[in-house]
Amino acid sequence: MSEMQPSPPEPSRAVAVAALAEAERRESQVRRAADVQLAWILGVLVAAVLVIAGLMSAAFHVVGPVVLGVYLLAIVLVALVLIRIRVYSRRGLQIFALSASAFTIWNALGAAVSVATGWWGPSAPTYHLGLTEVVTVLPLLVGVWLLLRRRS
Amino acid sequence: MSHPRHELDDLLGHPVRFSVVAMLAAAERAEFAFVRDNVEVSDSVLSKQMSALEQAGYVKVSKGFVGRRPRTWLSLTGDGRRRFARHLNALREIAS
Repeated sequence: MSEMQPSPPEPSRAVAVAALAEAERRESQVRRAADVQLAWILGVLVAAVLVIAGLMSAAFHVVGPVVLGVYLLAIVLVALVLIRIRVYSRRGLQIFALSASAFTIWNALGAAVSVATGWWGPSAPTYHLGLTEVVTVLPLLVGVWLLLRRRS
Repeated sequence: MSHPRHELDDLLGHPVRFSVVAMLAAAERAEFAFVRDNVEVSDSVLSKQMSALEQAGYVKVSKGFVGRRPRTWLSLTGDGRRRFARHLNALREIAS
């Protein structure tokens, strides 16, 4: 730095502390506004999977069109939440993506193991399908918990 | 070792710009109206500051539609994030 160059003004320690507090406050505003919406989306997915699991366990023979209806309703609800989102937090999106990815992998694993072990099969009771689905939503529930915990 | 004040970013010395960038640093992207409401400034003040930040390459402004309603989204660029992180580190050093 040249000696002729003017020195930038030096903020006091109090000014720096106030600026850091302001940055913290803005981060908190984003976190509170954004993460609850993402938790709602995961919550809708959990509800859809559990309703379908219940239907498959109780009345497997009539479940086809009802499952379609539940999925359509879930899509509409997710779209309504998406329209309302005004801010996406970086950390919230990471939790959401991790939770959804873990659910996809865990769900596929659950189905593969269920078929391989005969837990799912023509002679197996229908509630086996429902029980497997209850286990496969765990990553989504963890995602909801992590997102809601960040609000506090 | 130089004083941490040399690491402070002149553009972020402005209180509104600092608040906006601090908010965008936590966000992947945020709607213009969300930032305006939370930072508690008028449309014109925020627009003016956003123009300065966009020209300096700190912020990216993108426009889109939700249904028929236009929405303006704001996000920090990679350079903006790095500069804000450096500015924040300098403030921490001064505060400590």
